[in-house]
Amino acid sequence: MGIKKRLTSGAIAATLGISLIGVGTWAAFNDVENVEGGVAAGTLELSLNELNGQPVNFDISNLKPGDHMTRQLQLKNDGSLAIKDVLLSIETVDFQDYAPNEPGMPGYEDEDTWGENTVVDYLNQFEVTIMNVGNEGSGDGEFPKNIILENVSLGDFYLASGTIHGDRPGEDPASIQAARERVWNSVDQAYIDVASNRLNVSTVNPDQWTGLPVDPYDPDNVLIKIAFKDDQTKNEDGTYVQNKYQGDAAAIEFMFEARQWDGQDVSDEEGYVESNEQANNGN
Amino acid sequence: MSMKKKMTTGILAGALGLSLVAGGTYAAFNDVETVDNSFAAGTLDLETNTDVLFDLSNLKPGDWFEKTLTLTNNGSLAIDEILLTSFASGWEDVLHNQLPDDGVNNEVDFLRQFQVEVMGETFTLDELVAHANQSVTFEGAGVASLEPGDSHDFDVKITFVEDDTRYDGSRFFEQNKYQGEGAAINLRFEATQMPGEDRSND
Repeated sequence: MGIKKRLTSGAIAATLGISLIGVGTWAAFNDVENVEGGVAAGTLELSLNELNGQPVNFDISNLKPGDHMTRQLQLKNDGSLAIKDVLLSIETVDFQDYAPNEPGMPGYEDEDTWGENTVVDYLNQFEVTIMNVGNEGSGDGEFPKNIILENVSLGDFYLASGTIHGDRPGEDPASIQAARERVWNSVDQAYIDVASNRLNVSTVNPDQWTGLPVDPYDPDNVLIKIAFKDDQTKNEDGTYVQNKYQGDAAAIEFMFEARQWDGQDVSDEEGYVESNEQANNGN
Repeated sequence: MSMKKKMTTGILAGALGLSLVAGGTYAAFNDVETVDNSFAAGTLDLETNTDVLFDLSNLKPGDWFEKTLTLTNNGSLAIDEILLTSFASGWEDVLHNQLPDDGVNNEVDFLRQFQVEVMGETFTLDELVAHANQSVTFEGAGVASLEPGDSHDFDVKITFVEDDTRYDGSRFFEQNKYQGEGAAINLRFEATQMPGEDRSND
């Protein structure tokens, strides 16, 4: 405010004061200063994208032992905040144990070709044989990186995986614990989030490429290969043990949760916080 | 002009002429004293060290910042109290259809995500906006908080609170509803004068 403007205000205030005395109120000088503040939140948004026109999900029927299938998907950061990691869990499995109990259904009255089994039994017929993170590659040759050291059965991962409700509801805690030991011993340690019992499927680097930063922009591709185990074990009558899984079906929900980096001190920042676009808060 | 007015003018003119004659004729003793009276109002002028205390975007839960606000008495009168009234503006609800409630929230919800620490007090931005004319001085009414030329620093720490509450039966944190939202906060400081006093002996 210029000196001229201030003097004018003073004169008006004085006049006003006198008139206030006239109505029995107390005279007053005051001064009002305004300071502006502003806060705005960024956005954290993961998108899953197809690669090479292939679907991102497995939806394959009429499988037989020995079959295997590979899927690739792209993890892309569509927000303004860097993503620290992307945690994979099996949330739910919708399992249908095939039982041909009506004439005309395949295997009707032929008990060699089907049988009762649990969801875990069935999922254990499938193995994750490859899980490549950073499948798009990297200049230093570190990626693609297969984080599966030994094949992980889907049944074990189903039991080991944390869910929205914590440990898998309805399953025996000892079985869950045993499955975790098997899975965690079969996966690269750097990609296990022990606190939530999930696997990180974005890249872990020592530098600015960790996770899914916005700056530098770095989508990560993931490749997953799953095989239907071919188990030659036979029952006493010469039929394969695996026969009981004929006709069974499972719809498995893989969930990917993208997480933010830890909060940081942004006192030295002005306006848009650039370092929140970067891995490890720009450090 | 009426006859009466014209006559009055004539008499005055005559009297004036007479006195001039008298002034030039008689000597006289006299004495003249003048008293100069002056009433100059003081100035009450509060100054802040900045017009923009903070303006940060692209924040995430857990981020925090500290800023120093300096209030200076730049006038000639002592400042009694400094009263703070805050206004929020510019907030708009950003919806997120992947969230169970579409991320619907309101301005108060958003402002509640920010914790303010200043002068040993902790409160949220929505509480700051809800209470007008908060005194930011310790001395109380009637005792000067800032003498002319004095300054006071207020260290303000603001934290985007991190809340790991999830929606029921969902991996999503409830705080996701605030993604992409923002608000401007206008802090209005009013400095008041000291009470009037008897200045007879000045």
